[in-house]
Amino acid sequence: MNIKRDISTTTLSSFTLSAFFVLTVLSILLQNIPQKLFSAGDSLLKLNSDQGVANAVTTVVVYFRGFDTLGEIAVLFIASFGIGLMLTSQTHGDKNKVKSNFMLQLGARLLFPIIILFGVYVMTFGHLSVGGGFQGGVIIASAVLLMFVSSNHFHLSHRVVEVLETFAGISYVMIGLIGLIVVDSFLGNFLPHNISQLGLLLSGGIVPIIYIIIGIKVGSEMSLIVQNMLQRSDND
Amino acid sequence: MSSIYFIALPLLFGFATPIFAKFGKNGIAYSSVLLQASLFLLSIQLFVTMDKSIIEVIAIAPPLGIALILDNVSIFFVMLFTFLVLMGSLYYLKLREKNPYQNEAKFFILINMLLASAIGLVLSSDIFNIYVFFEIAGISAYILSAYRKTPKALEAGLKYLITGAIASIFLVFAIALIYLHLGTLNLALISQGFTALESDIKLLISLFLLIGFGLKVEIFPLNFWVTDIYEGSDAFTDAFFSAVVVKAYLFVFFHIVYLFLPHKEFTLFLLYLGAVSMLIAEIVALRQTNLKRLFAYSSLGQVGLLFVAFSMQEAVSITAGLYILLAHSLAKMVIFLSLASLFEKYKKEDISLFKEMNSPFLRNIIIISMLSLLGIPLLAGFVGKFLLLKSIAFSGLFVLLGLLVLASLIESVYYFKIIGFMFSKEERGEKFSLSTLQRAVLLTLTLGIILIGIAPFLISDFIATASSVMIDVRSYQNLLLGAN
Repeated sequence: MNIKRDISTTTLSSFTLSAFFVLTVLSILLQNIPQKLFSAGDSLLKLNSDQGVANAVTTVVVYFRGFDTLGEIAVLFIASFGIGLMLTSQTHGDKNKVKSNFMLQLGARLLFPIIILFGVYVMTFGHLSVGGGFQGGVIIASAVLLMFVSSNHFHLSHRVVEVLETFAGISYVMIGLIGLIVVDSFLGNFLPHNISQLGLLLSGGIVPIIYIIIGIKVGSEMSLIVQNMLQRSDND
Repeated sequence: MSSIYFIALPLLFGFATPIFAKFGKNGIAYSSVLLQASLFLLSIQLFVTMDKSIIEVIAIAPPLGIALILDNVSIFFVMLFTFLVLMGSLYYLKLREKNPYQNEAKFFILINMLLASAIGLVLSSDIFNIYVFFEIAGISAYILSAYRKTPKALEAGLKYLITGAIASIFLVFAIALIYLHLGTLNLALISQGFTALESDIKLLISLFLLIGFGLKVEIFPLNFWVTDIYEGSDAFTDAFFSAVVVKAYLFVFFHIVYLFLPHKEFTLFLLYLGAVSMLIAEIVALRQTNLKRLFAYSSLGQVGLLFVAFSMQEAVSITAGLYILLAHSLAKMVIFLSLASLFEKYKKEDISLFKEMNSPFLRNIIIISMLSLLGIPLLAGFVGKFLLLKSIAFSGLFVLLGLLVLASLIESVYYFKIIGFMFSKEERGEKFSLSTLQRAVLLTLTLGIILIGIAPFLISDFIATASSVMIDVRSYQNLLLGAN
């Protein structure tokens, strides 16, 4: 076998060089594992009880680092927007579609409401158990994806998705601004959040509300991404 | 008055675009301009009333929570960015009437996201929060550069996406290492604990930070991709990349350098990196015939110069750096905005465009901006370059001085080539004039260049305070940690 013919010298040398760098970095990392792990987690956990939220991870994501989460939502918003901008107005890929099996169609239709319900549950109970807005939103989007795969005629109403998405985005920032006015801190918890209500559905002040809003936003954005990737729009 | 409005309001505007779109064809454009104008006025008002640094705590107090810090240097950047974005949007109001491919509604979402993230980068005092704004700015910039959907624009967008993703990976890896070893994301706490780290880890983190930010601030040798992106994008978009986005990354990078790694060896390395970057960019610029590429290389050269200015780590040279930054932002805004109109009119992007151009107004303001970039006295660029060369000479770094003067000489060659083309005695078409609003925007920016050049003492106190605040790590730490 002639290696020189199959793999060019440049590829080989750049591969060797990258392998060398990766190994150097790895060896530095492995030699310097810190003896004592510092982390902000413990001190955040101590603060958690003030908010009356049973799931401490939710408090960190939605409240303590709420500003980052707002930024992540903005990232998702622009990403979905960019996919819409780049992929629409090109030729539609519906021509060579095979009609899907009857059982698949029926099964998908039966599963669709159940998955949506599960998504809504994960979203609403994010402050009490594992889960939350991001996960719930993605579950809802997966239900939409299932419908797209199973049926050739399914499409989302652009108007409804747009209304949901706009509503969620605006209310997130507005809740933050109300917090700024009421408790003098952006995204501050201005609703009652007593520790005595720990574990109830209505507890934690703004935390569950924001997580539901995040769920709506993520669900609608991810569904839009799925629709745009399949290149189907209202017009066909 | 709170600094959060500068980030929250543009984000709110972006999310609420479908509502503004209901107010007719121009709804989004006019409301966006209105928003940017009010943000600019707000920043002026904050600047006038501000007597000490303002710390804005979000949810919980630092070091655990996120805080925005508005001090003398960040208010400088906030005012600059809101002003430039306002000017760009005003210019775009008329430009888009001739640009059928540009759907104005979507364009303004991206511009506002870019503004919010640039201001967020400057204000934030939490390294992960900085990463989030890094991503927002990145993604809006990828979409902006691919906006025209021509093959070149799509190539530029894809290239930008790939390099941006690489930069993000390195940055997030650096942040992960910092968190692993120090257990905090707060800039002040990191800066206190950083010197005690193992030297290997310190080297690794600074290398990753340098690659992550270096790709974004367009420093040699990580700037091979920049000119393709400038060429593929619209000239109007290039104005924002060159005047706003790069400047935000540059500030954050040097803020982090001052806080974490104020070692002489590292900054000396950055110093020569900047000088080499400038020299190479100017040499390559000589051979360019495409105007976007040419001015992109000139931007790279100026970024190298800024690198030199900020790496000196002295209040005087940082003052010089802020002057250069201001002058460069104004000049590049004028040049790229004028080019956007000229490309629209003459349908070519070649340097010979200036032989055909028949517009005394545009010719004069482009010449003024280029002379300012060169550092001709009585224009804004002179003040910064003079201060910088003076402080380098006082430090005794004569090799560096020679490199910079050489680069400036090379720079002057292609600027005077363009000026020669502008005055060449060739047949010129009918006279081309801009609309009143566009003239007003360009005139305001050019007057800014001239005013700073003639009377730098008007803002010298403010800039000197800003630079002393930027280098004063101790008071930044006290401000950030004393709040709890």
